[in-house]
Amino acid sequence: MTNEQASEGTHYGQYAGFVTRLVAFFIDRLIVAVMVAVVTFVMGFAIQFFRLSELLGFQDLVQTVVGILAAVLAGTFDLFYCVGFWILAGQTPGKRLMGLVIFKSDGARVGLGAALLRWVGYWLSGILFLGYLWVLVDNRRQALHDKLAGTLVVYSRPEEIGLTASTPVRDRMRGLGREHEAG
Amino acid sequence: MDEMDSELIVRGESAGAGPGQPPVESAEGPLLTRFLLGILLLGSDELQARLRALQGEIEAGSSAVMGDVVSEDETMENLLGYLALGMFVRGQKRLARRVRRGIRFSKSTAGWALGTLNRLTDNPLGRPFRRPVERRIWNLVQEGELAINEGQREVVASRMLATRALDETIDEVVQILAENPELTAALQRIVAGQGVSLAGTVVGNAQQLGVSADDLAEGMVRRLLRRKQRRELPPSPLAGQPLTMYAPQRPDQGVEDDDQ
Repeated sequence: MTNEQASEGTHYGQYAGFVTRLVAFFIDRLIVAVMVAVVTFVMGFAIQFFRLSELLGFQDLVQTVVGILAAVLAGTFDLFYCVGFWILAGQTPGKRLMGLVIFKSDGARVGLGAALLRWVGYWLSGILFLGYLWVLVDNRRQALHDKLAGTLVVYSRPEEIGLTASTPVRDRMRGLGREHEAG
Repeated sequence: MDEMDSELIVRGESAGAGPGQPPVESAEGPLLTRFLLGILLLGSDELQARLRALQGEIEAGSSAVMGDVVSEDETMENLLGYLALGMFVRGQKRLARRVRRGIRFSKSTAGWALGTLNRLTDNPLGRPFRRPVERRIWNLVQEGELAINEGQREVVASRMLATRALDETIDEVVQILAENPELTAALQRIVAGQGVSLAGTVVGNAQQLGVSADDLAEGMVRRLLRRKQRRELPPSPLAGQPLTMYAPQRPDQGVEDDDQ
């Protein structure tokens, strides 16, 4: 793909590359981090304000519990955020901003199973960041979590993204998939 | 303060400054700060006044008698809500009390410490050490007094500057708009479209930049790994097409798109 293609907008539908995906990833992580930080701050403030640690009598224990709760909350929120957006919209806010969309290799929308697998794959990809770096050398620019969940990330036209599936495009993708397998 | 005083303050000369003294601030930076501070103060005054007025209206209009005992038909959710609110209000009051107590304590402690230090050092042995410290403390006190005076003047000056500037600007804008109805219509159109188009341009540019950076990064990595440079990506089923996978098919466009 060339810069001309990018400026003319003919890159729509092409496999998305590493930098765009990385930026989208960081935007999403930032959103999640801000949300979790706000909730944790409110929790901590409430505990301080109502002197719950003094009332319960275990100051250290309360701090530890808050820490664990914050970590669990962060993980859970991230899970719901990613899986929810992938299933419902095919893109998280970060991906939307960077003009990316996810779908399964056969052209179908991402389902719950694939989304969950992709989220688990995120953590595996995070090991030494190798799973993410795989985008740079893969033919279809798939990361490890994409390969695990059988998903593809492509450049999208944000204004075209809605909430219902278009059968003709899906059929075309399935056709291409079959050609690829036969070839 | 009369009209003459306000004129002086708006021009940057404080009421306290004498005729021969230089103006307190006249550069654009401090003037802008003064204007912004004035707007903040005016906004805060206005908000507080409105809240007080509303609270007064509510209290005057409310004839309900507040009972101390919770009625028995309250649900558990309501009770929990009351409990949380009550604890919040009590906590707020407690915090304010503590802060007040803390300030009182700090003052009395500082007074005691300084008094003791004064008594301990007020002798021929301590005087040589005491003098430089005393001078510094005296300078600090003077600095503090000056800062307080300046702050007081600044608050008055900022309010006046902001009031006058806002009044004049609003008057002028209203007059211009009243004289030019076509300008009003154009302004409405710009306000409606500006936010969306600016944000769209920024996001569009970022996306385009991202697409170019993707290729660049990939090329660099391939060169590092001594892999063959990729001329083009494997065909994507959606390449060059408007992406309608998650979008409803529009009757005027859907068939045409799919035929391409």
